[in-house]
Amino acid sequence: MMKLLKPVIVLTLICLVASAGLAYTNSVTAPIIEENERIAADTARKALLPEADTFSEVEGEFEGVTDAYRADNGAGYVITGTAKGYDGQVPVMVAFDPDGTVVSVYISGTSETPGLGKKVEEAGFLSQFTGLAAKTLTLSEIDAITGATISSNAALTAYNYAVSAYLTLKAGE
Amino acid sequence: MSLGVKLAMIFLTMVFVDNYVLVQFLGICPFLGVSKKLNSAVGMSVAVIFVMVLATAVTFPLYVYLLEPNGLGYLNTIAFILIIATLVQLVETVLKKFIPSLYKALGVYLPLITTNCAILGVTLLNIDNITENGYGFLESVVCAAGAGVGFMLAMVLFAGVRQRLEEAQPPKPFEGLPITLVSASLVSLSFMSFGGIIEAIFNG
Amino acid sequence: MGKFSTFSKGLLKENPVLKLVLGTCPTLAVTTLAFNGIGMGLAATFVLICSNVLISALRKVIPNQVRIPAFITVIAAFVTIVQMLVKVLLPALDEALGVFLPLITVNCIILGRAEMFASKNPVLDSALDGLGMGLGFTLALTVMASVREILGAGTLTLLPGVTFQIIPQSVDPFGIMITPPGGFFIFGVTMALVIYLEGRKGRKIKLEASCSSCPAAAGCPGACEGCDGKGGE
Repeated sequence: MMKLLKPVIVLTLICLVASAGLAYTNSVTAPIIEENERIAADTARKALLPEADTFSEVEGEFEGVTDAYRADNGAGYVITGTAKGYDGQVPVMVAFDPDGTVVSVYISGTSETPGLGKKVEEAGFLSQFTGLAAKTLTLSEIDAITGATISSNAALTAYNYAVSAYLTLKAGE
Repeated sequence: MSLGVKLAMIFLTMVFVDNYVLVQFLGICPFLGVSKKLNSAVGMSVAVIFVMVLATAVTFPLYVYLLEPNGLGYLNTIAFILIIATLVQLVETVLKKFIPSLYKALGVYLPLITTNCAILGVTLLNIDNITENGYGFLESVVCAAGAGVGFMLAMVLFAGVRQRLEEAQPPKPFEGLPITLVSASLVSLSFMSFGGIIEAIFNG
Repeated sequence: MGKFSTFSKGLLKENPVLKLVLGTCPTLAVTTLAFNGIGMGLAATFVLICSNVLISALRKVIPNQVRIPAFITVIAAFVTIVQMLVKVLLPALDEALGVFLPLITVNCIILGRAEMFASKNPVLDSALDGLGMGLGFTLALTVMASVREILGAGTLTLLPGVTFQIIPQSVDPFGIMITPPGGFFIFGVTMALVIYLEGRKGRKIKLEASCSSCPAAAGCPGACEGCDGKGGE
């Protein structure tokens, strides 16, 4: 009997100890991870819209938009649109001032191919959006990255999602 | 987009564009190890498709209804790998007892599947897909099936390439595995051309 | 076997990637940036040392028939801990490695060392073995990643933000090296180089991705012939 039970008991004990260890590690790390993510996102928003002081999230569902934030002092909006690129999602943060002009655009943390699609994260690609009026664009209206049409198109689609969400929000004000 | 079109798009994308072996580098060990003969390549692939779909069908509800609501999402890796190991064992026992002919064809490949990273990979990636692409149960299962069929396509194509390689006489240091990898590079290159095609078909 | 050779054999003589052909998936997938290679290697090294030590310590307690599930549970637990630590310390690395960080669980190197070494040897030896094998894995990944990044993007990124321009920006980089086909290609060429160098030293080695190196094959006698295409039907 003991011979039959021993493997079961040992395996169960290992699972229990492992889960307990993970629960402890998680309780220590989870708040830090959450805080890190919040700080990173807030810093990024602030860098995009320097005039703003604090942000609060806008309620509502918009196609292709993961989150939308309104500056509490009325300096504008920061909206994150996202679309599927060559490898995973391409999240694009777009900052709008109250007049409906694009202040800045920021892309980070994509898994696009380094040296090719990953170039959508570089200033050379992003700066072309700065100063445009908030309206959706087509691929022929922008300088896409050579050899990375899929990534460029994903960035553009995500940008357009953000613009559409902004226009909807603006109309509702 | 209707559900059917969406599912078809997910399936074809997994087979061609996001091919697990040639584009995402999941399941390379069996790809290199079992692709020498066409019949073993097919046998292994069928076993992989079967376990992928089954594993996703079990792990997805487990995560959505048990782990996530209780704040235990971080246990997914450990829970999934144990489920996969148990499932593989279970499938082996059931096949052996009830469908011996199928067991004879697939049985030898089953134990190798537990440590095949494509299986754990598909279950974990489907969890990411919930938040990233809004996948539900049906989408996840179709995604797993597509990943498995993509694996099969890569294996079968490559088995053909390898049969040609048997005749080839590469420079001495390239004999064996190196030339196999260089050939895999060319097969992978051909899959890069699928990028964007599937989306273009469905979005007009 | 001396303590030093227990450690050093993993670096070159029995390098897990280049000689034993284990852990091929991460070797191909994450080596697009030198730092990703280093990060992946060190994460796996940490898991390897911890799991080797614990499995070696428990080797007399774990019943033989459930040893593989027991090893997998131990490894998966350490992998999850590493995942949490990486998220705290280097969120960018977590982002870059993606699913391949949790997939360390099914990396053949780790289960392989548990089965072939740690379950038969004392704790200190197992720790040294884990360290050596882990660093050997890191070394292979770093070399692959550096070559791919230099050729494919013209840069070398040793730490996040510490990037060196190796090929001047005016030269268009060889972008395909970073894509999946480039991964297979560089891996094949690296292996050919290893075989060539060994051949010059008068040693003839044949690299084979077969099940002899697959730890799961231990539990399935029939499987190996299936792999080589010799058995089966």
